[in-house]
Amino acid sequence: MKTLTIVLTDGPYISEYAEIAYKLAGAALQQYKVNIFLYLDAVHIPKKGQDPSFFTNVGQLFSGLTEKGVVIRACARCAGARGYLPEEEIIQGSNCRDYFPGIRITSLYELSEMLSKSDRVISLSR
Amino acid sequence: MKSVFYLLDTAPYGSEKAFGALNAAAVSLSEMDVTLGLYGDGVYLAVAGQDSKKLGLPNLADILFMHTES
Repeated sequence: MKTLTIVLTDGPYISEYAEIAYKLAGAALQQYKVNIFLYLDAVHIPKKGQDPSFFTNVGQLFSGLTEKGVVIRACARCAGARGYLPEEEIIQGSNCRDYFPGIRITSLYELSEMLSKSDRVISLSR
Repeated sequence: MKSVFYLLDTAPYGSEKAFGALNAAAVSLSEMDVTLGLYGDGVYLAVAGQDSKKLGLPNLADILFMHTES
């Protein structure tokens, strides 16, 4: 099976990229193994407890993706800078208590590894 | 992917973007051919004689030249 990696750098509501990534990933799952790497402000996307009155809850969308088998990882430096701290203990597949289950904070080297092992890469960034 | 192209179109210190692109490019070096495109204000990243001490940030040009092809 081929691999698709989606790279995000925007926060959850400043642009439509997170939602677009959700739709792309969902559709691609039929033919691809899908990875999503959260870089820079995108590390905010999987935060639990979002309540965007007028928008779709993007955190919940991404939580749904992990349940379908999408691998979602966040950059450690970017996450740390924004107060999302990785812990040694992995609870429900996540090493960050602020994140939805299955979404983990890893190093930037994971981005490079995802890219090099991918057949297709989509970067949604500005 | 055998190679990766990062495009930077913002100036080096006003946002986290240049630092981010530079780091992403640097970590990719071990696994792929890496090209960093500097476009628009991104070209300032390559300017010689930058002094970022008072910003409390690393000199991004130094990081860039640490990784360029010799």
